[in-house]
Amino acid sequence: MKPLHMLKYITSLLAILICSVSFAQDAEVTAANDTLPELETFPLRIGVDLSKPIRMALEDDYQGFEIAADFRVTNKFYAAIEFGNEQKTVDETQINFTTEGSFIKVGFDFNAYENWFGMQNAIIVGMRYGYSTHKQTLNRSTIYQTNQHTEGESLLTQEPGTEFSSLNGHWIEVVAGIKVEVYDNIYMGFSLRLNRLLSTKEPENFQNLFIPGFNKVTTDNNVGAGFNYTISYSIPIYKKAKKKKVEDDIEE
Amino acid sequence: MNRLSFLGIFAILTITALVSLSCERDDICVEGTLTTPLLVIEFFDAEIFTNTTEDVLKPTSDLWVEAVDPNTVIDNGVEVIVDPIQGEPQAVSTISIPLRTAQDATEYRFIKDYALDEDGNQLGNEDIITFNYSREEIFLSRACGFITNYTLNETDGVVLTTDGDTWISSNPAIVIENTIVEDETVTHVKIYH
Repeated sequence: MKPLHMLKYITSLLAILICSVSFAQDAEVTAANDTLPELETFPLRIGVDLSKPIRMALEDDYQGFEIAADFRVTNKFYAAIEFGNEQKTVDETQINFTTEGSFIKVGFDFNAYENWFGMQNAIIVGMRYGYSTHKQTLNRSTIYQTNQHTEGESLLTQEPGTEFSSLNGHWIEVVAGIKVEVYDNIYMGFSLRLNRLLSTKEPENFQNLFIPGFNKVTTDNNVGAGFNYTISYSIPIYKKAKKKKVEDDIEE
Repeated sequence: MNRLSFLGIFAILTITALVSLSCERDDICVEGTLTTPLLVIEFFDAEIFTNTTEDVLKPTSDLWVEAVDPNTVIDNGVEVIVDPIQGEPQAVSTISIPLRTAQDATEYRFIKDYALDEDGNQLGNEDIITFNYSREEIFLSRACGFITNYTLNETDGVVLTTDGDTWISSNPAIVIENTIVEDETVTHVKIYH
């Protein structure tokens, strides 16, 4: 099944690439021959992840919020941060547990989209370092017993309610996504994330099966996936004159 | 035009994300995984062992094994034992039995020459063995959850209830071959008869 998962991500990355080609061709020539010096804005974009409240509405056993912000550092690079909180109850055949905690992700986005002057739309690829601090409660567990000659399901099932606190996780995310200005200074963004767990502080005789910010963790596998759907507001922090490219000078 | 293309990508990415999240693999506890083990007992010839100290397997005659107070379900108004150890009384030289995971002891009836008479009374020679052990719960995986491993007590791991007419030998006595019960491919207990 793992190759199939990988295939999905490769497909989605391809989708982004193909679309980026199509819009490069669509670009309209609207550049005005202004005599004023061209000023590039370096804004701070702050927003929330809309996918989490949507998930809260659809799933009974999920709570979460995420704040996402990025700041343009150079023409192409943005410093990016996401932080938030998640609580999730997972009900499996053999176990039922609740994970609750906070996460922070810090990294950068590279804008691969060539904007017309003054626009801040983006097709991004980026990386994040993620860290979570959380606790996990084992609500129910059933001893895996194939032969039930001595004990049935009711005797094999326990409700220990054991809480494993001060757990954590460290991971790396590879981000691919887009950001587009839908109204003045209002941006919508979408990103897919492929995560790789680096290290965790595991509960004793149990496992971190869900990590806030990282999402589901599978046994014997340290790869995960996630996405976010942000709406953000762009606050221009400062402007600076755009450096003219050499080709522009030649054309003029 | 440009804005529309972006919205198109939004749609594609949203669909991709929803599809990839909804198609998550259902984790299944793979068959063949070492889970809660069964206790493996082998039956040996007591006479040969006394004379030569050699272990020679000796099948029991029409043996029927069942736990004392087994797990039962009512099926069509009849009380049926869940997962019987054997389908019918038979001559066997090895048998695998589950131990209780909620208690530190499990009692089993070992009935030799098992049969029922016309009135439904049990015939044959019944010996009761009590297995005493300590338990350890171990987390295995998301799909398998927790399992139990056992360690049979050194001194009173296997106790034969003496009733004056035991078919299981007290001399040579029952031997605990492996106190640790976590792998059902090895023999844990040797019974001489």
